[in-house]
Amino acid sequence: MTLARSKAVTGLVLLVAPVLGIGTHVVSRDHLPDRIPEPWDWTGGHLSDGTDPDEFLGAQSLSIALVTVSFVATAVSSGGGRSRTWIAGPAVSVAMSSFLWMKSEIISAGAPELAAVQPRAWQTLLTWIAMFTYMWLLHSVLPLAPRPVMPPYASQLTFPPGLRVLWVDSARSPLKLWLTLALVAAAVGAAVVSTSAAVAVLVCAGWFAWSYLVRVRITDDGVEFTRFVGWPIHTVPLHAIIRASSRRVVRSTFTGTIEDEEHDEFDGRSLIIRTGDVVLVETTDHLPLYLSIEHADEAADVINALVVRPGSAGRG
Amino acid sequence: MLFGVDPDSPVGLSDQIASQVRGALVSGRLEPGDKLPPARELASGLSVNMHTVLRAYAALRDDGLVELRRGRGAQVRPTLDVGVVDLGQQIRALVAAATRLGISRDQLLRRIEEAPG
Repeated sequence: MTLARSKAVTGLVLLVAPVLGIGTHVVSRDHLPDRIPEPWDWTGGHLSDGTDPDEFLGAQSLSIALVTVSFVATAVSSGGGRSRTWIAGPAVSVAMSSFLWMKSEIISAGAPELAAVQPRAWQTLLTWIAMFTYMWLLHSVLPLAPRPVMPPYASQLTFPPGLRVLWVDSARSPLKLWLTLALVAAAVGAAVVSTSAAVAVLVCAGWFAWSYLVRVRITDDGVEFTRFVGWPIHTVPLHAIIRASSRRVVRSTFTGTIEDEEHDEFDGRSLIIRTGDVVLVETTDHLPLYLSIEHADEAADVINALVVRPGSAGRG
Repeated sequence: MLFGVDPDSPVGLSDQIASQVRGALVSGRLEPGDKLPPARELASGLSVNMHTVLRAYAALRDDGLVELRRGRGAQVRPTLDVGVVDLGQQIRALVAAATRLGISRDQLLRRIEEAPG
């Protein structure tokens, strides 16, 4: 199925969302208490004593729509085959819906006190982990989505047989560095109000620090990449690489959107930490790899030269 | 930055590495203040002994091109004059060409002194 048709189907499914939302409002509105307990309030009840029914119902409707849309869109866009979005899209949706499911349970139990419902947060977390594991297993057993085999790109470089090659470079996101520092400062301030709030802010700071830097290393063995702390190291062996090219990320979203004539949607592995140059590595496992890197055109040239080098382990 | 070493070349591995750093400086791919890859990473990527890389870095330091600091690795000298590096490369090429032509160092020096300036 073409990408345009996938989008059309997804759009149709989106129309279901308002129906579900209005229906939920009509059926549930008169049966809800004035305030609904907030079990995951990080401040331990200092800042919030619950949410109102309208907010809850809106979130619940959105959750229903998200789960439906993400599953259908994933199945359609991957042509029934394997796709990383089998994990990413539905996992986020299921996480949100299981949170709301927990709140529904609280309401049906008669809206007990906040302290009594907080342990249910852990039940939700376990449910989410179980769902995530299920989807990961589903992803691993599904067949690969069919794609045409592409010829390797020509390279401006030529490596004679026997030459040992190493290309190293990195990419940094100054924005994420500043965000990390700002969040660490905010965590210090939040510690005065609540320890759990400070921990939550620190976790966010850790995430930004984690994705502040990408290091890429290209050798005769393939492409290795890692994050700021140097662990874990991911490797794509040379024999699994078809070709590489440089791209430009023009819009930075949650998944790092590539906007060009070939890839207007992200579907694959990615380590995109900022807008700008990325190298796209197309592999035999049909999962394109996008890596933020300086001098992406040079990196692509090195990879292509290695792939077609006579006697190399590459596809050429 | 791209490195490549040929184990079958008559030029030593450390000389090959040092020469590529000099070439990168002249071409502008490396600039004053840039960091060189850690010796351990370079050694493992090129499948050479780490002492080979350290020897190359030491030669570059002796040439006044890089600074080696404990715990901070190798860095191109921030005040480096790339023109001097370019001249150094040309002198090396000149000496190599003279050797190929059977011209001794003394003869080469004499010719340089006699050259119009």
